Amino acid sequence: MLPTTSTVDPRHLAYMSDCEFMQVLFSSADYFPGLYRYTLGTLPFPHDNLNHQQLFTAFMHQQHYQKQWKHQQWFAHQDEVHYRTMKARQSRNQERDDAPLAEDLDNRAYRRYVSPSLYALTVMDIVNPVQELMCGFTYMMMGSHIHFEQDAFYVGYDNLMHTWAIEVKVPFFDTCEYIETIMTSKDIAKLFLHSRVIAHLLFEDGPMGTVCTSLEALAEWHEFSSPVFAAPLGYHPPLPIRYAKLLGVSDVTATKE
Amino acid sequence: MLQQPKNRLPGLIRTDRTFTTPTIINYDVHKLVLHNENFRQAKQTDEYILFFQHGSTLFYPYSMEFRYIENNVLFLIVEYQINSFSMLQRVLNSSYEKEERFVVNIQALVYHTDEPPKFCHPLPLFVIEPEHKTELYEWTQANTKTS
Repeated sequence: MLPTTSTVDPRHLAYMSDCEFMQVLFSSADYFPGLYRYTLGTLPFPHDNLNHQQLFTAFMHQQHYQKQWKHQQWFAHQDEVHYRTMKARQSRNQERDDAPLAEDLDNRAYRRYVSPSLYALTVMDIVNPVQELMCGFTYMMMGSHIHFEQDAFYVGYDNLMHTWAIEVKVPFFDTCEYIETIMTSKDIAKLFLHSRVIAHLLFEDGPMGTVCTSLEALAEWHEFSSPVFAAPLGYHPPLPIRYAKLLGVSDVTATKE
Repeated sequence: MLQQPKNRLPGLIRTDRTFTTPTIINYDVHKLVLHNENFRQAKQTDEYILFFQHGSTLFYPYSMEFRYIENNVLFLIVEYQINSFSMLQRVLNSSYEKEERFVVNIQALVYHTDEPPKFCHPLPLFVIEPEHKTELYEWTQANTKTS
């Protein structure tokens, strides 16, 4: 395809309408849109990352036997991912010519997953492709949870807290109509995943994590093998894209004491 | 037949199934010049990252975090706690050199708005050093128009 050049009035960018924002946002969906975002097919996670069923088991152990696990146990997989992507000699980070910068970024990436006291645990269906977008449902698109309602959609949506980073007041029908002009149903199946925040993981006064959710919230998800990933919470205002760099979570129920 | 509203944001809003990635390559007070190309083919040597400023508050547009070629600026500023443009520039350039084997002159474009900008994230701790930024003013544009 040929490169094109166009001009935009910065005022139109500063004061874009809800409809324009909707169009820009969905225009961003692509298989390889820029430098940093992983495509879904290249997520560097261990195959035995925590899944929905194991999270359910962990929650039951916590509720009935007061069993809890340490931060280190929850994020043992992320330690592996971090090593492989940031520290290992052949890692993408260590390929940088600027060695002090590589070390600095390694530290920042480490702090990002070790420091927070609250995480969102999100479940993603990587087995059943999205056939069509439906009102009342939440999807993962380009590292962001997008929840559709009849008269608006919500970006950076948290299904448990019913909070969001951005409210975009465009009717569901109009949004779908626009998406269909720029994507085929095959694109929609690949660029959107069924996904939702299913629990929060809280570290309060110490290393032991508390899974905050309910049986109702867990039961709303039917694909037991779906992987569960984490994202740090607690930024104010909240970020619309929280899952561009997913944090791997371990199956703590399999942890040997 | 109903007429479609004019696309005020060409280069950012797709109108068909072709995907290209936008880069701001030039500007004047009235306009930003966007270059759209397949990301892997993009080899622009000069690039601008757009910020808005209203009063003393600096903002980053969410639209750019989703759509721009540097689609992780907010991620780096907020989640990696990168608090200066020079550091941001160093990270982005290092990535370009590592991944694409070319060097880009990345500068900040700060557009001062009369009203609080919409769909933006405030950046209270982020500093753009004077040597890295060009400032544009909405009121200048209004004045230019009326003069």
